[in-house]
Amino acid sequence: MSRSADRDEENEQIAAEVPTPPKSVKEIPEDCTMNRNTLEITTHSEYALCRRTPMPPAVKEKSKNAAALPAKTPSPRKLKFQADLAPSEDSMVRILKTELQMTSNTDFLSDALALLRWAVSERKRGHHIVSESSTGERKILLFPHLERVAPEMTLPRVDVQWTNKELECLAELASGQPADPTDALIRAMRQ
Amino acid sequence: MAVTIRRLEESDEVEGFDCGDEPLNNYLKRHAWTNQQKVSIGVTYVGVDESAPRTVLGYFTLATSSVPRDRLPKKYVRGLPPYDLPLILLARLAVDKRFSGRGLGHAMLSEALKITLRVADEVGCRCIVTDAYPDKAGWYARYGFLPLEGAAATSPQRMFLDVRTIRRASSIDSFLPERA
Repeated sequence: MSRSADRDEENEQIAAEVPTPPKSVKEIPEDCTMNRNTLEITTHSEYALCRRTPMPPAVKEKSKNAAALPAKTPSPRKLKFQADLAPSEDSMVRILKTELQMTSNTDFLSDALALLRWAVSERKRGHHIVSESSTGERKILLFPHLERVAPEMTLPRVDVQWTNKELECLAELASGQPADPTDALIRAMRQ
Repeated sequence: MAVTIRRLEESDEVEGFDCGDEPLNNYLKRHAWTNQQKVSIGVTYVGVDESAPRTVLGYFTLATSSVPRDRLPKKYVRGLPPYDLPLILLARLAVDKRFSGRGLGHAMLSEALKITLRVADEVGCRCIVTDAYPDKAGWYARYGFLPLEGAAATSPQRMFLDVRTIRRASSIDSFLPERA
């Protein structure tokens, strides 16, 4: 078998590995796919595409000659983000995308990320995120994960603060005879 | 309900816990695990039912502390050993309001006092101290906690229980009828 025939066979194999695009591909941006209940934002890297796209034999021959040229810097690999969504969440994503007139999952995630980043930075500075109605009614956003970055979160203080009177009382009790145990204490120790 | 009291574990379900007091809820949900496992400044024990061993029904947190000897009034210092006064701090104790009135608070305080006694036996401490909400001070007093006067008006009531009293209680053999 000739080298050219080898390449053709290799190219056919690679082509077979490339998934066939869905019929409704026009509705879906080229750089992302969305399955039911799965928010999948796939940003293929240039490098990965080159590896999987078959090249004509002639181009391959030319590329051998071009090997001496300085190597092209590969573009940075992009992150693939995939999340399994409950049907309700899947529906929510679709509704939000419609409301926001977004067609791309990448844009959707990008906006969501920008919003979350802003919220985190505000809470980190100790600011509250408030919604105010037209009548002046205010609601403060309390988001459990967001509260973790808030500076006012209190940690238990093992360094106990004492007033002078408390210290006097403590010293008096600790240096004196111990009190008799109560019935409840005896029960507690027996439990 | 068969309650087990053990150390808090990372996989415990704490998000549903509600004792009716937001700082106590918040502590369990946000800080208890970090303080126990990462920074090691306090250990949290949880009460769980055997039928749902991951759902936290109540908890308490213990930490150690001490009072520098030079801060104690001179007239009492002579009756104390010549060192700082080591103590156990009962930093938190809370029961989910859906399970209050079932003796879970009693069971957890009992465990906290037993741990205090073990610590006193193994590394030494003179007393256990807690900061009680004013409306709970009576509950602690039933177990022999004595109020320490002098707290600021807005502060909780600081209460004290001598380890010697706890030790004496644990050694009493006499029969006591179960509380109705």
